[in-house]
Amino acid sequence: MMKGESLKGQIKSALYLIGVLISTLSVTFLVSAFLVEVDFSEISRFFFNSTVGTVDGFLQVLARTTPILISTLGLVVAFRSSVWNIGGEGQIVVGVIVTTGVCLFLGLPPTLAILLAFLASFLAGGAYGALAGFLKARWDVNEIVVTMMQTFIVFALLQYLIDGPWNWGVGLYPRTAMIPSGTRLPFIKFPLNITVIIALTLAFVTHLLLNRTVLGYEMRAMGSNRTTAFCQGINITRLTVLSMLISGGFCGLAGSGLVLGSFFRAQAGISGNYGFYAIAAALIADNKATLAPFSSLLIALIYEGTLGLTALGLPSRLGEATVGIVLIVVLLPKALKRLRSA
Amino acid sequence: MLLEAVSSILSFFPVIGLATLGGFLSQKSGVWNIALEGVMAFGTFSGIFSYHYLGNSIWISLLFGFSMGLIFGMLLSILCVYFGLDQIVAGFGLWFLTEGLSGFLYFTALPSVKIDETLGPRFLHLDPIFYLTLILFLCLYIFLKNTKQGLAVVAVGENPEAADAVGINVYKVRWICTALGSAFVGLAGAYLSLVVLQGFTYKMVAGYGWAAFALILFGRWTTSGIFFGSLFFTFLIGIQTRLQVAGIPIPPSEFMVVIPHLGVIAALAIAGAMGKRAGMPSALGRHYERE
Repeated sequence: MMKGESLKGQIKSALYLIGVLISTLSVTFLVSAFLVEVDFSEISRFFFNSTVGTVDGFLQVLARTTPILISTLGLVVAFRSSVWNIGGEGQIVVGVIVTTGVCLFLGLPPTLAILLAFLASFLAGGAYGALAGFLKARWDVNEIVVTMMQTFIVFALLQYLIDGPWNWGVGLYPRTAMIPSGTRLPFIKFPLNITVIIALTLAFVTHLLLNRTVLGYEMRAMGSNRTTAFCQGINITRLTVLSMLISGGFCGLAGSGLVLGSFFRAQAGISGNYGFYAIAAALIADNKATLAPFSSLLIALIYEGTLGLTALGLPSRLGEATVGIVLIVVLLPKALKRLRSA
Repeated sequence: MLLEAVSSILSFFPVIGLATLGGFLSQKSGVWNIALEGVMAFGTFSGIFSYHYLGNSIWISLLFGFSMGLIFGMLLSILCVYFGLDQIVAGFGLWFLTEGLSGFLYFTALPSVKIDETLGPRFLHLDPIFYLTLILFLCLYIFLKNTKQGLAVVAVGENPEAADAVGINVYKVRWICTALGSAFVGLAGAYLSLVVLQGFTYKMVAGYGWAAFALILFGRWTTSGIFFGSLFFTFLIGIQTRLQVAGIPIPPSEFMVVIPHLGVIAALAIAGAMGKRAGMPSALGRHYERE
């Protein structure tokens, strides 16, 4: 969405986005105020305080942004190649499982364990994604269906592990034991951990990958037109698998970061729908790596703010609905622009 | 005894059948509707909502679910048929919107509603909607094969330029198919909450929308293919739930729910390996811009 070659165009897009956010929030707050019988100003104050109004709130938003940003970058790689990976959520869980396994059961020295956990999560998430890419490239199996079904499958696997073999047996709900304290990543300032630096680095790397390398050029070529790319001699099969590998790998890293930096264990609902929110973040950023941090921040803001509103008795699902409205409204000018130029 | 067992399995058929049929209709005209799951979720909500607020009538509530599906279908067709937004992107937007709205409104506006009336009159233990679904499949089969309008839908899905050249209004055909298809998906959702499970629980659609989406691909875009596909899937679900209810342990139980999903991936891969995307409407997913 936030297209525009000039600085002026970008400022205009950013202002439009902020306008959309504020008006959407106002509307949803008004509706909620009517339905739950809480004061409109009360809702606004709570939302403000739990996001940008206080230092703690803002740190929480930044902490939320991290996993969303990492998986958004993964989806950007796939979407730019016109491969619709919507299984980011599942690939995050793959990362969670692998990281927990590495840290709990291998007994490696902490630094080595952390490095191996990240590497293994990238490879496992990537392999899980690449499977869908392979099916698409080889036999034209629709990747939307496959990645979604894969998500259901890996969710069941996580549930099985935390209920059964990996169950810690203490606490109210099923979860694994904590990973050794040496393998836990340090906080910059609680709850923000150092994975945020990894996320921002990855944003830069993704930008370079897509815009400064042959691989990225080929991906973009395939994304804009498969047939033309094929005629240019680009290996479509290899590229589809590769884009899904990177995409799933990034999502796996996001899962790894969640275990090493925030939860220190695997538990149900650890992936927090970040993989699904990342779809919206990638689309709002118009599939651009440089804009992904901002769109992820926007999504995290809505996520955290609406979560704060549950204290007032509002359902946490408000976040999903708000993101849906924002996404549709943000997409509109793109459509209108097309209409005008047509 | 056997008849009762079979009919109780078949009573789930409208949920899968109507959703598949709806998605199929829109894909046949060249528009992906990947928001099946979300529209269905909104259908489940609006069915119960209408049952509670608009008089306790299942029929009116089903109609309400149908019209809610119609409205979201219209939104999708405005976005991607007229405005030319990428169909997948617009579909994601719609999925988020419907899924989120149904969850949000459920927790704020909906008291827990229990429905204790059943839909009648029944024939062989099955309600009218079941037979309606069968009739709809038959009508769709005849419509696409033997009527002028049906051939127009196929033409628009295969080659919109040629269809336009012979005087077919591509935009009109596409938006009607998308909106009507989405309406059937909404009806499937309303049926799920009103008749099958008789109440609303959050995330009750549980992947049936995605299954319907997969069944269209698996049925290779033929009416008979998607009909038998949804029938087969209905039996899969029926057998799975029956095993669970009977307490037959297939350890570990977490993997029971995975079987349909694994089945879908395997089936699609095999279907693809046997004959690449045969039957897929050539212009599916491609926006048509009139010269």
